[in-house]
Amino acid sequence: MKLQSIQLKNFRQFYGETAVLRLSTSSRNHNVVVFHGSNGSGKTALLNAFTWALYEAFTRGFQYPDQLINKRALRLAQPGEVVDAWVEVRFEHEDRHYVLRRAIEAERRPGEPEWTRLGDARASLQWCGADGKWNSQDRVGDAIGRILPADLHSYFFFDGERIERIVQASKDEQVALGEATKRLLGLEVLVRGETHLNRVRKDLEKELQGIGDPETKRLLEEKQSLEEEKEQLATRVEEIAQNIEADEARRREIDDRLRRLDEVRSIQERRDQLQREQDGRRALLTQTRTELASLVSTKGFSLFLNPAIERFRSVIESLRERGELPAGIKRQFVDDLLDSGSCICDRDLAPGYAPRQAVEAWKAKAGLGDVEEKAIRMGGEIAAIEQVIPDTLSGIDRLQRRKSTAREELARIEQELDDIKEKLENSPQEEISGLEIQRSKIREAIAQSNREHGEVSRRIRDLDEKIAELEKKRAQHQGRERRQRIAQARVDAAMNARDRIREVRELLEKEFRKKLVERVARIFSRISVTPYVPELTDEWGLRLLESAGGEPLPVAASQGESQILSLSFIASIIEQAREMQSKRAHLPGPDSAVYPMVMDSPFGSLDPVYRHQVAEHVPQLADQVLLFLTQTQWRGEVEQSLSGRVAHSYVLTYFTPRDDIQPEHIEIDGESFALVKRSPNEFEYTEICEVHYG
Amino acid sequence: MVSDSPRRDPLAPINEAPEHVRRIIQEVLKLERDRLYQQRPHIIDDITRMVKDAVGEDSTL
Repeated sequence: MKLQSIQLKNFRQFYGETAVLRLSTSSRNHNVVVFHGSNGSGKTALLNAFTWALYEAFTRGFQYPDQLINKRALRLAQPGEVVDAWVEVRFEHEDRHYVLRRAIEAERRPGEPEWTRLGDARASLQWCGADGKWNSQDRVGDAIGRILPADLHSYFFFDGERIERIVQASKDEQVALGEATKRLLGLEVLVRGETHLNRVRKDLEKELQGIGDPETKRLLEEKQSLEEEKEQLATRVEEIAQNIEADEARRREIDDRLRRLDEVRSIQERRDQLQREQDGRRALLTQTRTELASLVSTKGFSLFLNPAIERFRSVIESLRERGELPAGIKRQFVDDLLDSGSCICDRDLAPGYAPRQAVEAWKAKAGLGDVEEKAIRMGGEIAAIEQVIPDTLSGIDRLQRRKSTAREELARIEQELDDIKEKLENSPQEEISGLEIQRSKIREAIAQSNREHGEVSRRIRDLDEKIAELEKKRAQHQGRERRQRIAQARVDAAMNARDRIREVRELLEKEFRKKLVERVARIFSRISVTPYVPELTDEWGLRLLESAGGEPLPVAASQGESQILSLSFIASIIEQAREMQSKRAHLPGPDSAVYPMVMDSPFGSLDPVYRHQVAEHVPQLADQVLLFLTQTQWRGEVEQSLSGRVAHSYVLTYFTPRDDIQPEHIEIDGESFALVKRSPNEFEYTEICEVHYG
Repeated sequence: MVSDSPRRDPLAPINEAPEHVRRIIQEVLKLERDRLYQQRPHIIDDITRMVKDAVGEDSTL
């Protein structure tokens, strides 16, 4: 998606129709569009004009989203007059030009003091392909979602001061992020293919059942009944997961309330920190267990080889003692002498002569040449194994130590968490003790749900095994009739295709995660000055680890670092999409790998070092970058880094009805532009003007 | 340090598939892609036909 322009009418601060604001950027070197404005001038409104038009959604912190129509337009309208507000966004995607308009209307009916909104917002989407014909698209939401998934939009259109939300995402947000990212990269096609082929396989099995012999029928019926049972259990697993999520949300809400209570704020903050540490130690324990299992399964055998090595050494030693090693002469050499009938000393080796018998006696000794060769080779292998033994032992030792340290720390953390719980439950203040008791009950419910989740998942795995077993039996039970064999072959082909698509999807997901982590780490290290390394957890949680003085542990990242990590993550997705598109033309991949990044105040809470670093790298993070900045955010490091890369620049002039406000100006390219001006009437509003570079 | 298992080409399962299975996969994925714009595409009959065409009545079994 490449944004071409935006135009607004009566949207929030913007009275009447604005000009068409061009956003198109021609090259990667001039890919930045900047909107300058003071606080309250409508920068966030403009960002939300994009999200509203495209997704009918708003960024966090966008206040009064139900009041979209400009107040001046509403007040100046006559009773009975309908006032409309709209946002029109033009963009390009995959060789198509799109015009999207979302509109809303309100009316002040005669005799009624309040404005009445006329229906919901309406969206229309037209597109024009290579043939130059315009088409109207129905189901606008779906169409936009295929271009840039709705659940990913907040990572491309965001309030810079809140972007760290990616790092602090809740579990369900993390899952949604993972799913949306996969969808953006085109894996949805594989998921659908797998699901639909499975349904086709079932239908074909029914056909087979209709023509199959009694044994095939019986096996298929049994399998179908197990599959039905499995589906019920899978539904139950989903329900449990939803319950857990709902309980977690309630628990977080209680934590929030406790955090807001002055008396216990510090205790709750300590608990937050302990829980983060607990998560970190648990993750470390899991990782250590995996490493240990892998080490034992790949190198563990070496620890049992000592007796065999001793035996080998003693065999070789006794051969040496007997003078049979080194062999010194090769059997082939002796055979050649005997064949030629002449020794190297020119003696005749004709049969019956003593010299021939002497040379033949060497053959027995020469036979050990093979043994010698093997002994040398095995000696080398044994030396390598002996090298592995101490490494394996020390590796196991190190991992065991890490495990026990993590366990001890976990025990300490859990003890402290218990103490906090007890303290709060016994608080003399009813509100606090009440909240904590409620929290404990929720935690117990979560634990119970987790146990049930584990049990049901185990039953699903058992069923999977039984189903696979039945499938094997059915495949072995060869149909006799031709029709039956064909029906059978179709079932097999559908299943084979389904399994292969699943395997491709799993391999792609694995590869894609691995690369994504590498990219995030690379981009993060380019921007950040810290030694922290980003990690993507299995649940799509993003966090920073630091490993000074030992094992990597999660760090409590500052707001600035979290923002940089989030930016790195978004940039990595864009980079990944670009790569997948270029390499996988023959596989379903992303339609297009061009995405914009639209950011409100991305430098707001950064110190000058990070401000400089982010400004330097922002243009490289995406194909098109739109920035909404105050004068303070623009001046200095950001201006120096970006001014050569700006394709279009706009100034939002805010007209205030107040007399006591000093006018504000900004100088761009040697020209002065008003940021704040006195309104000629009683209304506040904002006008947008383009900066034309000399 | 324990080394990772060797990386497998993600497309290998498709490339290594028997001819008729590969044909089904390619046709199904193309259809899925074409219908991605639909929330719930009705394509079961089309996919069934693709499987039946790939393993036709005259298949040598």
